[in-house]
Amino acid sequence: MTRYLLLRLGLGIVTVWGVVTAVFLALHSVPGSPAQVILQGGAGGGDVDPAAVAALNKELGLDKPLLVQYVTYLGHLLTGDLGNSIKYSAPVTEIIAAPLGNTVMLVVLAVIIGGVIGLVFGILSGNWPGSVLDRIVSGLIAVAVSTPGFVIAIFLSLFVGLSLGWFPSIGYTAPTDDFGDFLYHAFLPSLALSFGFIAIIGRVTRTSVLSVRREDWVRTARGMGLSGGRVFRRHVFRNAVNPVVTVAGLQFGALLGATVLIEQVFNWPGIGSTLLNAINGRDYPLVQGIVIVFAVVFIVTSLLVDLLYPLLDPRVER
Amino acid sequence: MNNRISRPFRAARRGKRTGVIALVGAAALVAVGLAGCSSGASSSGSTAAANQTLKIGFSAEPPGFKTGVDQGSANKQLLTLVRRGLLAYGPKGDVVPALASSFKVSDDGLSYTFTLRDKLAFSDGKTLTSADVKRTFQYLADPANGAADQVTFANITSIDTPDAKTVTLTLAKPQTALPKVLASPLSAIVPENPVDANGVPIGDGPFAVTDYKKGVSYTLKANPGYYDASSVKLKEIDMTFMADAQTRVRALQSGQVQFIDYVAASDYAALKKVKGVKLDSSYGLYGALQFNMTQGPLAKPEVRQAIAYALDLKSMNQAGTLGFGTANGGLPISVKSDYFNKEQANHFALDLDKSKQLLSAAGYAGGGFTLRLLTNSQYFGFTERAQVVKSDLEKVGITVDLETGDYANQIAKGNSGDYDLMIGGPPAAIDDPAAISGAFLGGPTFVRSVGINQDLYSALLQKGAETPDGADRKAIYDQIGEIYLKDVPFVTWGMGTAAYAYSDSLQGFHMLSGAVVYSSMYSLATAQLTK
Repeated sequence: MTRYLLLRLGLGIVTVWGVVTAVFLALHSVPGSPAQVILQGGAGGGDVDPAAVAALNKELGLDKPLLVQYVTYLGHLLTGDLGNSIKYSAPVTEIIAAPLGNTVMLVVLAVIIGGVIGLVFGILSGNWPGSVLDRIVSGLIAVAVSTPGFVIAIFLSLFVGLSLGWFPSIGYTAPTDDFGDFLYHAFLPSLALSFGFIAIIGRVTRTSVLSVRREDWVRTARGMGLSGGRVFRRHVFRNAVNPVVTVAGLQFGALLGATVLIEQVFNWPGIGSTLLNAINGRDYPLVQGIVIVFAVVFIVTSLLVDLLYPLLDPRVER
Repeated sequence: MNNRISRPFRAARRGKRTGVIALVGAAALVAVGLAGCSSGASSSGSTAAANQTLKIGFSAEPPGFKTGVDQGSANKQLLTLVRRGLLAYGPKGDVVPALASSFKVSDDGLSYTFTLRDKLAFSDGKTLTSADVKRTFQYLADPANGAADQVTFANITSIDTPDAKTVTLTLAKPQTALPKVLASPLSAIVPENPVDANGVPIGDGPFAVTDYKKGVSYTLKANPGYYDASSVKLKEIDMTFMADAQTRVRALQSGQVQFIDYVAASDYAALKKVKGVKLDSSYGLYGALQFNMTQGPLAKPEVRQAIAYALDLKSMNQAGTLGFGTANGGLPISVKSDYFNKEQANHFALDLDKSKQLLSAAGYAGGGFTLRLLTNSQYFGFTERAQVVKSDLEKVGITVDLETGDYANQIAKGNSGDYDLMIGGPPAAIDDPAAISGAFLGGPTFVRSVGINQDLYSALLQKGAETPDGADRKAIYDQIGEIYLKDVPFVTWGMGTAAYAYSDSLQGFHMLSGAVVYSSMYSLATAQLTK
């Protein structure tokens, strides 16, 4: 197990390095410098002496050769220093802490909402295949999977939020100010985010339930006179849920990425919005820092899912 | 439903006579209700609300606060709330006293003496004196600091401060527009440390930023040290950043905010129908098709003239502003200005035959060449106008390849002149014809065409800046216009549109237009929320 963990950790570090390097090169190859955006990027502005722009570039260390900037950045990274945001002149870790928390909250809520609804859909559909219920549920899942997340987000914001007024159509309250109000504002964006997750969990659960129901030991359990509920709980569900857990874990990273557009619709100050603004603002350290966070989250969740698997199914080797 | 109305309707089932009585009674109740609502609305319009917290949906988080640098509309709008200069803009765009209670100008226009008000202080508590004015103006004059009006402040040869309340500026040459420059939020007086450790600007404005959640919002509170604090009615302004235009509109419609800036033209019609919301729209900044005149066909003025004749300005106006802007050429002078020349503005009226003749005269009969048109897809209006340009020029045989990306891409390529054509627009910080200097003179930036023969314009622009308002000054700018029509270093297509939308409970906000539209929030200093 230790050897396995060390191997995964090593692979993770290599992955993060690869991602950092790719993003670094991509950012620096795109036209537009942070100094230009800071001094000239505001709508209606822009008439700035080129000497002032060059001076700011120099102040930010962006006049140095690319290789020097890259090595300097990696050197800081090895000490856990993600650098300072160019726009905010503050440590990247400090800038992304709150938005990351806001996004993780959305994702967690989306996983809870989507997981519960997806499981219910999949179980209903899988237990009564071919029925009217199965067809309705499958239809709903098809709609959820084929509708882009931002379209769902706009619909929820306009209809549920603005027209019906059941939840705020946009906006945010800091959790430290009022946690209840924070959740109230988080509900619609989480719901929008959960649609794709519902579809995936629903489909995987349905397939898995259908498959397990056909197994010999399930028929045997029924033949022995066990109740349908007990057969489902102890024999079908416990076996069917394994692939669902794997898929759910792998979806966590995808959900993080899917928050970008949804945060824009609801004006939710999450990591997606921060990333988008950082890219438009050419805030290199902030973009790189966020990408590293995404990569680490994805690697860690994959590892956790793999470690969780044997707990759910003792037959799987640790 | 109102129970007092439904009861009569239930009674109506008993008989026709009862029904008639019930209907009459219901009508009376509705009439009373409506009268009550309307009388409430008219009487509440003049009563200050107990809660004077204005919630604003703000179009962008300011990119920073480099003193004097024109970093865009978000930056300027916030500065109108937290800083003041010697002068400011009044509700009609006129120049009014601010930190200076009065000023005198010498007869030759070379000396300005300002008298500061008593007990001025920055929001951090430090006193504001003539020394701060001198330091600020010297900073703005230094080219290394990149101030938008550096040339104006560099024209000040000496700044005398005989006492803490008196500032005398001596100019090298007269400058008719100096008061307007001093009224700009970019010319506000700043302390030695103009920005605090959190990146928040410090000044002596009606409000001060008390909380800044990076990427989320500003909270501003009324500044008790402001020189006219007693006239500030709003106690607090909560400014939430909402980059998306639709998000801002939804926030206003749902009542989550009471004021939004930068309303897109596509939302004007919808907002006008929303009860309780007022839309204030006016003209914005000029737009123009910029040229790289250093190479190829565009090096010839006949080709540039041909392009000007080929552009359908009405289509450009429709595409970029849905018709809410103006469709005119000529110098980028406001259509409301006394210096606007209508004949010159209509000189390049759409004429494809003339365009083809000019191309022929330049040696490009039938066009037959390709130009790269740089634009961006980040902001509304840019790509839309680019499509119109492409379509129009193809009618005279010029092929246009669109090159798009985000705004930072356009800035970078525009700064380095990496384009043939560019959707852009001249800079303009003040509502004075002297502001057009920025369209012709200055170093290479994306706001100016590349390769402008500045010698053609510099002497006359300088003369126009020095000449007092009147017929002589008008004649100078008309002359500049004639040169422009032959040289065509860029093709103006008209003024854009700008709008604010807000709850009709907000009274006292006055929108400015044209070059000073982003100074509109000066008037929030005396605005208030009513019931």
